[in-house]
Amino acid sequence: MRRINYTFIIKWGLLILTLFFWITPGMSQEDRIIMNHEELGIHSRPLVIFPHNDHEGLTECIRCHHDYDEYMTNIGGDEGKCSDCHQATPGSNPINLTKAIHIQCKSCHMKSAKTNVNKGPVMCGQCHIR
Amino acid sequence: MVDTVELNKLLDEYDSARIKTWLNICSRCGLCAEGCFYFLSHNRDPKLSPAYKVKKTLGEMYRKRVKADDRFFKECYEILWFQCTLCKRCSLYCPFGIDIASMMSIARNICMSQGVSPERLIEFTENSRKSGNHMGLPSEELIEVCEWMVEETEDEYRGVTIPIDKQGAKYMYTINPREVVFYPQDIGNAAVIFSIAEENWTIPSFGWDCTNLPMFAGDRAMAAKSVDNVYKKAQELDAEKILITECGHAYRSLAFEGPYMTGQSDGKPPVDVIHYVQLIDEYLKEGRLKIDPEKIIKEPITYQDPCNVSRNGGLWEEARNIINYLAEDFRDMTPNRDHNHCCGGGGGIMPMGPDFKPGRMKAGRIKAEQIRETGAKIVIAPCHNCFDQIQDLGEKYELDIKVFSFKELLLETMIIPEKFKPDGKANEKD
Amino acid sequence: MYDLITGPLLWFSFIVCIGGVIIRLVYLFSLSRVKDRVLYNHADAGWGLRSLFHWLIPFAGSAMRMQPVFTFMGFVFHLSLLSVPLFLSAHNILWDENFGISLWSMPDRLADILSAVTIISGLFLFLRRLSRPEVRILSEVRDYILIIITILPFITGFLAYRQWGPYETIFIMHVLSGEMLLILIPFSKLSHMILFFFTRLFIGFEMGGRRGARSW
Ligand code: HEC
Ligand code: HEC
Ligand code: HEC
Ligand code: HEC
Ligand code: HEM
Repeated sequence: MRRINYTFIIKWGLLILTLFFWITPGMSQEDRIIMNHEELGIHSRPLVIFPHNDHEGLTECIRCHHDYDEYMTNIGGDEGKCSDCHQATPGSNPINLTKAIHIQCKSCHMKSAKTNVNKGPVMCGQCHIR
Repeated sequence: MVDTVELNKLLDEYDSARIKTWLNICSRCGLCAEGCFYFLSHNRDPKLSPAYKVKKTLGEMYRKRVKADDRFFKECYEILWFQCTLCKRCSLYCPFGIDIASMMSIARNICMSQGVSPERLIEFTENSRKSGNHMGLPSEELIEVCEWMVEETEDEYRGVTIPIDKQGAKYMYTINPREVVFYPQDIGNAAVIFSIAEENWTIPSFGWDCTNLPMFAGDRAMAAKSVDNVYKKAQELDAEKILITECGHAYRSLAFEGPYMTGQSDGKPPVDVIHYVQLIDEYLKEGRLKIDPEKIIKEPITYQDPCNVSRNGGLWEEARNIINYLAEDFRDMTPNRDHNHCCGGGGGIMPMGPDFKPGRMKAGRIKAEQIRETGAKIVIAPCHNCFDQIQDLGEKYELDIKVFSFKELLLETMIIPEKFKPDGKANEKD
Repeated sequence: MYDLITGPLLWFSFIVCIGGVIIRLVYLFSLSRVKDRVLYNHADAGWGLRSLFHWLIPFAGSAMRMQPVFTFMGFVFHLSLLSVPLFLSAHNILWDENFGISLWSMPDRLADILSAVTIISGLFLFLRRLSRPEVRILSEVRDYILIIITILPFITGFLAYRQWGPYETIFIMHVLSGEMLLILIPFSKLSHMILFFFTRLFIGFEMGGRRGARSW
C-alpha cells in the first residue's frame, strides 16, 4: 500500500499556485502574496502567504518598500521585490533576503504583540504554515 | 554514640573539589559494576555495584551529615570492609574516571573516627602505634630472625649476610612483619639474592614494616606515622632507595599514598621507593643474576597481577620480563595486567581474621576461575595477601596449584656462582 | 508570551547556564588549589590526554566494549544532543537575526532525523535505567526526570517543526523546556558536559602521572 505524500502535494500545489499568480498580469498588488523568491531556491520551509492588503493600512508603503540614501535616510523605493536589493546571500547589501524579510515582518509583529492588539505572527510555524 | 563534631570536621576536611565533582556528576550509568569482582562473583548483585557502595557510604555521609546514626555506621562497616578491597578496578570502568576506591578509603577513615572498623585492624593499628610494626614485634626479634636466617643459608651458600642499619646502602629493604613471624625463609631468600647480586643493602632495625594496615583500618594519623617511620629511617640511614618486599599494598602506601599522608608538597616520597619486581627485573636484565637453562620451569605457570603492583603501580611488564627468564610455559590470565581481578584478599581483608574468610572465598571465585582457565600449575604472586588468598582459593576450589613468590622461584632456578657455593659441596647440590 | 520567553527568559537562562558553569568552575578551581594538590603534582599532558581520548572515542575504553549497545546508544545520543541545538537552521536563523552571528546550519531533514535519533536513544537510556538492576538501584527519581527533561526540547521541537498538535502551545513548551535544560546544566549532573574533561584529566594524572598506569 502506498502512502499519500501530503507534503509533496501541498508543496507542488503551492508552487503551481504561485506560478499561476505570477503569470497573471495585473496581479502585482494582489490581496495575498505567496512569498516565493526563486533566489532562495527550493524552500526548506512551507511558503508564506503574506496578506498584503491587510498590511497596507497598517503603515506607509515606504516603511516596507524602502530605499536609503547615503545618510541612511529612507527615501522610499519603488514597490518592487525585496530581492531587487537584498540578495539571497549577503552581497552588495549587507542584509540577506531571508533575514531582511524576517526582521521586517517580525519586528513589527513583536511590537504589535506587545500592545496586544491584533497580534501578527511571530513563531515560525505561524507564517510557514504546513 | 556518633561523635558529630568529629564527623563534621572530617567531612569538611575531605570535601575537596574532587569529591564534590565526583559525587555530583556520577551519572549513575552502572558501568563501574562491570569492573567489580564482588559484583561479578555474586551473580551481579546490584547492591555490590561500586557506585551503589559509594552512594550508601560516603554519599550518605555527606547527605546526612549530623543525622548519621550508629545503625548507619554499622551498614557502612559491612559495605566498606566486607564488600570492597579498594582494588580500584572500577575507576577503569567509569566513563568519567571517578576514583571510587579513594572515596571508599575516605569513608573508611570517617568510620574509623567513630570507632567503627574491623577489630583485628584496630588491633594491628595499636600494635603499630606501640612498636612501629603491625605485629608488635620488638627490634630484637627481627634481628634474631635475621641472624637465624643467615645461619640457615650456610648449608647451601657461602657468604650470605644481612646487614642491619648499615649507613649509605643503596637499598633499605623493608618487609612485611608476617615474614618475620610466618615466613622467615622469605628474609633468608632475599638475603641470598642480594648477596649473590653483590648488592649494597640493609634491613633497618626500626621502620622496617613496609605494610600499612592502619591505612586500611582508616586511621589516617597512624597510617601517616607508619609511612613516616620508613621515610625517616631511610633518610637517617642515608639510603638511596627504599625497597619493598613482595607486597602489594606496601607499594601503594609508601610510593603513592604515603607522600600525601606525610604532607610531601610535591606528592613524591622523600626517598625513592621501588618494588621487588623492579629489582629482580633489573638484576636479570643486567645479568647480575643468571638463570640456569637446565632449571627453567617447564610446568605451566601463571602470574597474579597484584592490584597495587600492576593496576595501581604500573609494574605489569616487569613481572612478565622476569617470568620470561624463569619459565617456558607462561599462561597469562584473562583479563590481566592493569585489568586483572583482585584476588579477593586486598584492602586489609586478609589479616582481618576468620570471620572474613567465607566472604573472601566467595569473592575469590572469579580469581579461582581465572586460574583454572589457564590450566597453570604454578601461580606467582609477588604480594603476601595475594599469596595467602590464592593458596586458600587453591584448597577451596581444588585448583591443584602451587603458589610461589618470585624469590622462591628465583632461588630454584638461578645459577649460584662458584664463590657462593659452600666448600666441597659445589657439585653435589641438586 | 513569545517575546517574554524568547526575550528576558532566554537571556536569563543563558546567563544562569554560562554564569553558573563559570562560577562553579572558579569555585572548584580555587578549592582544588587548597585541597587537591594531587591534581597539580602529577599533571602530565600525555597521560591526561590519553585518558581523555580513550573515553571520547567509541569503544576505546574497555568498559565500553563490555556493553556495546549502551555505548553505541550513548554516543549517538550525545552527538545528536549536542549537534542539533547548535547547528539547527532554525536556531541559527534566530541567532543571526538577534546577534548577527550564526554557526554552520545543517539541513532540516538531517536535523529531523537526528532529533528522532536523540529521542529514541534517550528513551533507550531511560529504559535501560529501568531494566538493568545495577542501574536501577542507583537511580533516583531525579535521574528519570532529568532524562525526560533532556529529550523534552527534542520531542517538542520535532512536533513543532512538523506542526503536529497545537502548534503555539508546543512551540512555547519547546522554548520553555529548552530553557529549563539550560538552567539545569550547572546545577545537576548535566554539568558533566564540562566537568567530564576535568575528572578524566585527573584520573589520567592520578593513574598515569602518579603511578605510571593506565586509566582506561
Ligand atoms: C508590511 C509591509 C508592506 C507594506 C506596508 C506595503 N507593502 Fe507592498 N509588498 C510588501 C512585500 C513584502 C511585497 C512582496 C515583495 C517581494 O515579493 O519581494 C510587496 C509587494 C508589493 C508589490 C508587488 C511587487 C512585485 O513586483 O511583485 C506592489 C506593487 C506593492 N507591494 C505595492 C505596495 C503599495 C502601493 C503599498 C502602500 C499602499 C504597499 N505595497 C505597502 C510589503 C509591504
Ligand atoms: C531599493 C533597494 C531596496 C529594496 C527593494 C528593499 N530594501 Fe531593504 N534595505 C535597503 C538598503 C539600502 C538597506 C540598508 C542596508 C544597510 O544597513 O546598509 C536596507 C535595509 C533593510 C532592513 C534593515 C534596516 C531596517 O529597516 O530595519 C530590513 C529589515 C530590510 N531592508 C527589509 C526589506 C524588505 C522586507 C524589503 C522588501 C519589502 C526590502 N527591504 C526591500 C534597500 C532595499
Ligand atoms: C507595520 C507592521 C507590520 C509589518 C512590517 C508586517 N506585519 Fe504582518 N501583521 C501586522 C499586524 C498588526 C497584523 C495583525 C493584522 C490583523 O490580524 O488584522 C499582521 C498579521 C499578519 C499575518 C496574519 C494575517 C492573518 O490573517 O492572521 C501574516 C501572515 C503576516 N502579518 C505576515 C507578514 C509578513 C510576511 C510580513 C513581512 C513581509 C509582515 N507581516 C510585516 C503588522 C505588520
Ligand atoms: C512573519 C512571518 C514569518 C515568521 C514568523 C517566520 N518566517 Fe521564515 N520567512 C518568511 C517569509 C515571508 C520568507 C520569505 C520566503 C520567500 O520569499 O520565498 C521566509 C523565509 C524563510 C526561509 C528561507 C526560505 C526557505 O524556506 O528555505 C527560512 C529557512 C525560514 N524563513 C525559516 C524560518 C524560521 C526557522 C522561523 C522561526 C524561527 C521563521 N522562518 C519565522 C516569513 C516568516
Ligand atoms: C538547549 C535546548 C534546545 C534544544 C535541545 C532544542 C532542540 C530543538 C529541536 C530538536 C528542534 C526540532 C528540529 C527538527 O525536528 O527539525 C528545534 C526546533 C526549534 N527550536 Fe529548539 N532547542 C532548544 C532550545 C531552544 C530555544 C531556547 C529556543 C528559543 C528561541 C528554540 C527555538 C526553536 C525553534 C524556533 C525551532 C523550530 C520550530 C519550528 O520549526 O516550528 N530552541 N529545537
